[in-house]
Amino acid sequence: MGKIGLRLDRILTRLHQWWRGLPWPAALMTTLRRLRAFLLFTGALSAITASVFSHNGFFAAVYDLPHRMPGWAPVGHAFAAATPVVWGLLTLAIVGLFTYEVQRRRDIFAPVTAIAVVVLGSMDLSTMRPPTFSDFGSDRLLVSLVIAGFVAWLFDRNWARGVRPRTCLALGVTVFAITIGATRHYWQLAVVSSGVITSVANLPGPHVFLFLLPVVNTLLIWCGLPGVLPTLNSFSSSGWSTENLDYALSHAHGSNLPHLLTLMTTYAPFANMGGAGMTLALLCAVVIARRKVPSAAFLPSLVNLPLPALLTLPALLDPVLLIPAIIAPLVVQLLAAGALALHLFAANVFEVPPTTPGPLIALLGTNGDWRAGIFAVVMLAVATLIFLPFVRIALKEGAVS
Amino acid sequence: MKKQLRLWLLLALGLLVAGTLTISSVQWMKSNVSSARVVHNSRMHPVILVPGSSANQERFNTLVTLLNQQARGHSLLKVTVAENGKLSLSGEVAAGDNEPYIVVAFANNSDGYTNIKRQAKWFKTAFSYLTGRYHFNRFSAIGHSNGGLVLTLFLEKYVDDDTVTMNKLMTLGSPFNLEESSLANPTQMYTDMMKARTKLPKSLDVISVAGIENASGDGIVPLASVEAGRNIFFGAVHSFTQLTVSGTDAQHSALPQNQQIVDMIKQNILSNPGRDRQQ
Repeated sequence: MGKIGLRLDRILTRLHQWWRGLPWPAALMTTLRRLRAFLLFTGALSAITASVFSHNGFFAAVYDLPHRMPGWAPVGHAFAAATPVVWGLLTLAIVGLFTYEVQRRRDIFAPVTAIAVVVLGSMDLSTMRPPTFSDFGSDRLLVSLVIAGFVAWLFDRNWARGVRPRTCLALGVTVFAITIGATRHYWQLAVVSSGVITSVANLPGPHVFLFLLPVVNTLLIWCGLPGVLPTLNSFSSSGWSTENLDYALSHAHGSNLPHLLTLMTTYAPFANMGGAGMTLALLCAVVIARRKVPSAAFLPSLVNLPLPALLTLPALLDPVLLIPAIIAPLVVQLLAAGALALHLFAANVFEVPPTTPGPLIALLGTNGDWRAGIFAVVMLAVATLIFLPFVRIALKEGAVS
Repeated sequence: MKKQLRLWLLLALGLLVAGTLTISSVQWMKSNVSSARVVHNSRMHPVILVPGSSANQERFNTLVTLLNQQARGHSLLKVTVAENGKLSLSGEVAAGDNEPYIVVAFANNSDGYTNIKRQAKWFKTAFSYLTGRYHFNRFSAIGHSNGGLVLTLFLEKYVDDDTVTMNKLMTLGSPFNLEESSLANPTQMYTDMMKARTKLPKSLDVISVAGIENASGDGIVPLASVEAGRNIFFGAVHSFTQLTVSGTDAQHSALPQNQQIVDMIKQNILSNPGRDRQQ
């Protein structure tokens, strides 16, 4: 390692130490470690539901499971119904435990209040519909954590001592949450903007979106927010992708595609392995750095669900691991764009199930071009190498398990 | 040593699983792309005809004869769907004919909304068979009387696949508000069709033809009930045209043989009207 490398290593180590020293991240790490078994179960359940018991799931489609597997539909319904419930319960468990861990007084009032706020705050009084588990699932994780932290802070105040002030505080915060929930249509700006950006992503546009959107997407998902490119997005609904598909279906050799560089040709097959931020490469780096057999956290990432791995490691909100999560997909996308411009392999134009395991996306999306498959494996290796030094720093600090 | 052996075994197992998965998924993808290519590049554009209540698969024989008069014409396939969804076929789609006529009739051809809904489901069964057998990705349709309602319900309820598109729809004396002569009394069917009108294909061109034999309509269907179709289609599809025919052969059951309507079909529905079969 050169001088610059050593200096960078020192800076990043210090950044990581500072981050882990903060009360909220430390409490979050402890919370997520305690809930590891629950996290692994939730991740496995999501992965099986999305890839086996969904009509466009990878295993369901390739092995024609809806017709070949006895009881596929009723079992699938049970899995599909259970997944949001388990995610909802997991979020509530994270909220409760995090509130308990982050507050100084370890007052049981605080986690109960935080859970009540998250549940009741998700109610939409305009429709008079009771809250469901999907209302406070994985997409609201960061919002729920912020609420939990705020409630814990309130309960740590000096004036919040004694049963009466604490009861008043709990009731007051809950009523406030219900009011916010009732008027959610007016303030849910984040959701609206996310929808707008998603529709922009599906439109033909300048190439700046090609590289900017994945960056924004990784930032959001690695912070526990809904991404601008939905998880398990097929990337085939944009006008450009449709024109490419039309061309490829009409021509035996798709060497002169109308739109060579799109999210579907550069990002989906190479820079989205394991989901936003190339989580599969992060896990590969963890396995190499620890020299240990991969854990069950791999399973959801194999079918491109990034959040379970981010929570299990845990890498959520980790500023050091966020750096390669931004850089790796960007580098891979640029390399893929260059390789496509040089016509090294066919472009990814055919829609594949969104849960197709990482390196297979390129192979299948090009209708079996083995060069694209090999390039995808090489890109996974490149991304793993980018992640490796950062993972070593995180491991040194004991953040990643 | 034991740990290393376990690691190698795990690696070998992983490679075996990955290899099997790769081979089967590539085979699956190649077969998918190959079928998609056949459908995408298909030049076939059939005209599907659906008769009304009490009529069978022979209902359009005269119409097809009239359409085919000027040349050798297009081939005719007749399909009847039984109540259990079983199909019986007669006639054929001739080799090289890109615009064949396909009549889809129903063994249970009774009237009433309940049966029309069942017919729409049976039509879907026949349609799935036809697309699978002839690999077309676009078609036009003509529905006489309740046949037009069956096609409309099919579009609203059963078309969830954007790989096959209905380009043009012509309804002949189709009662969109059943036997009611005023929209002040909307039927359940009309209400249901209005609710689901957003599901109609945005690119569809619709022509609704009404017959006028007397002041109120074509002798069986009230004019106002045919005209109710405007509310269902207008704004939901690419274009909607309402036409009326009068004079001889404007009676409800004579509409498919009406010379004005035959000319309209040649002009608006057929891609190659009066021309010989394409080779």
